[in-house]
Amino acid sequence: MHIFEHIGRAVTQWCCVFIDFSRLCIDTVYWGVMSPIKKKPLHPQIVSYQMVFMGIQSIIIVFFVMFFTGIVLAMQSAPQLIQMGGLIYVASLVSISICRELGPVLTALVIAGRIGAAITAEIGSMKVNEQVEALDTMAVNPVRYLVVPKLIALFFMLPCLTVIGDVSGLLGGYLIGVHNLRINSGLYIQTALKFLTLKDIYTGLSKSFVFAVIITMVGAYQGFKTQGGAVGVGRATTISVVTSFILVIIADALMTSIYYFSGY
Amino acid sequence: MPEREIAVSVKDLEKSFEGLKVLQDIDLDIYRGETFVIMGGSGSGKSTLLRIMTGAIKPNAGKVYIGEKEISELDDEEREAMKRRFGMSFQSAALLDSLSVEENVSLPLKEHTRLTPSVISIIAKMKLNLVGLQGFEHYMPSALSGGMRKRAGLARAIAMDPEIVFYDEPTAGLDPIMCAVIDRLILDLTRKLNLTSIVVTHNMESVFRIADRVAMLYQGKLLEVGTKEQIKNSKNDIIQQFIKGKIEGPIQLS
Ligand SMILES: Nc1ncnc2c1ncn2[C@@H]1O[C@H](COP(=O)(O)OP(=O)(O)OP(=O)(O)O)[C@@H](O)[C@H]1O
Ligand SMILES: [Mg+2]
Repeated sequence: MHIFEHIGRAVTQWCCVFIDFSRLCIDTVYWGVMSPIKKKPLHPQIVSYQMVFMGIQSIIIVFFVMFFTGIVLAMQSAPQLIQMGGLIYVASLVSISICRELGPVLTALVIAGRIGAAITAEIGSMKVNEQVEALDTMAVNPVRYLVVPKLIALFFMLPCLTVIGDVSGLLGGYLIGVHNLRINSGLYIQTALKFLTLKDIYTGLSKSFVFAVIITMVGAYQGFKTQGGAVGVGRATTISVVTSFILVIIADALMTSIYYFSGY
Repeated sequence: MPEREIAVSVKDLEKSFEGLKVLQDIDLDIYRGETFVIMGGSGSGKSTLLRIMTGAIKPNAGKVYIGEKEISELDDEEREAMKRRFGMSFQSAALLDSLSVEENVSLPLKEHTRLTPSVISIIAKMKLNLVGLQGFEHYMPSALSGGMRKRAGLARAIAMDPEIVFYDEPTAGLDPIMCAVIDRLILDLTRKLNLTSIVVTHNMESVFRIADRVAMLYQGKLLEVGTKEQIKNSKNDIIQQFIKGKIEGPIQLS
């Protein structure tokens, strides 16, 4: 009896979360599409501000994370590849694993930590300080004002950051390959590109569009759900980042398996 | 006296938070063009009542009519149109942190009108003048004092020249002179523009300065509604204790 009660309660709770979350997503799409039609401003200045904040200001951290990932990948794969007599394949190993997998996923995780947290903290503190209610009372839809510009901004900036991350990773691998492993520079680049197909790059990029949606929507959802003052904002931010991390990894696995089984 | 037009009407309202009854049996008619004051002790449900009237939260039972229309029956378009006729000055000011004072005041104008930015800026400056905040247009809310923030919130509430303005403790935290200025502003708006003002306050001076009618809320119930003279001469001990601010009396602080 007790167990069923617990299970029942948990299931209803999850259903509520799911319904609320879907409603937020539908609202966001609705306002994103309908605002121009209803002749409501889409807040270009907020979008551009967010693009700078989310995109430009994240470049350095994305660069460092991916650059060192490239270095580590090259260093760790070199001994094994030397034993098999194929040191040159360090180049292709680094380029393919960065572009297909590590670039999009690590960039998304970095951005989830930086931007997802910022979104939740901003909306959450607005929620607990009655600012969301104030927007609503002014007949300014909070989703349209707070979520849509952020989604648009991240949707375009995350793929850009991913490209920057990919290039940084390749650069890290190149430096180790050429300066430490003494592979000829031209040969390294040639091998790196030989096995890297366009498909690798756009499957990676296609993932980052999905990650952008996950990070923004989870951040916004947790923000709007925030309750209980500053403590609540902190809690919501933590939950938001953790949820984004998990969902990004799950979505990555799903998409990878879709590409895998459909022969991509 | 001819039947007066009703601006906001509340019927059999009931609201509870997590099983705790905060408001019950609230029946209220607020006429167009009057200044209606709601007073009551801290935690008696005044802000909650305002929130329900603006449609920000839903009551557990009962109805709220704005003019002829019941607010829970409106569709999205109508609800939005209705909200544009409202102004609300929040107890906590609720200015948007990311916008300057002027941008806060211009936000509703930018969203709902097609005025050019320069006209909007002029209107915003005018409204800020009314609340004595000229020269603070470019301050961020975090750089203002509590009272200044409240006044900026008030300027935002009247930015769109609303028909009905809700004030949640507009003079709390202001010095006596500023209180008088805000009271005058509320009166001016009400008299000259024929607005309906619904004011929550526990400042007795303000109450008797601005009110046409007063409602006393006590433990979630309406104790009495009447003109300020009726309230001043009320036989009810609770009201007498409240307006005189005595410690002894039927209101127990426990
Ligand atoms: N969101 C909420 N969740 C739970 N309880 C709430 C909530 N909002 C208000 N309450 C409760 O409702 C009661 C009335 O609150 P309300 O804010 O309406 O009081 P008030 O009359 O405005 O008080 P004050 O003069 O101090 O502003 C309080 O007991 C409060 O604890
Ligand atoms: Mg209150």
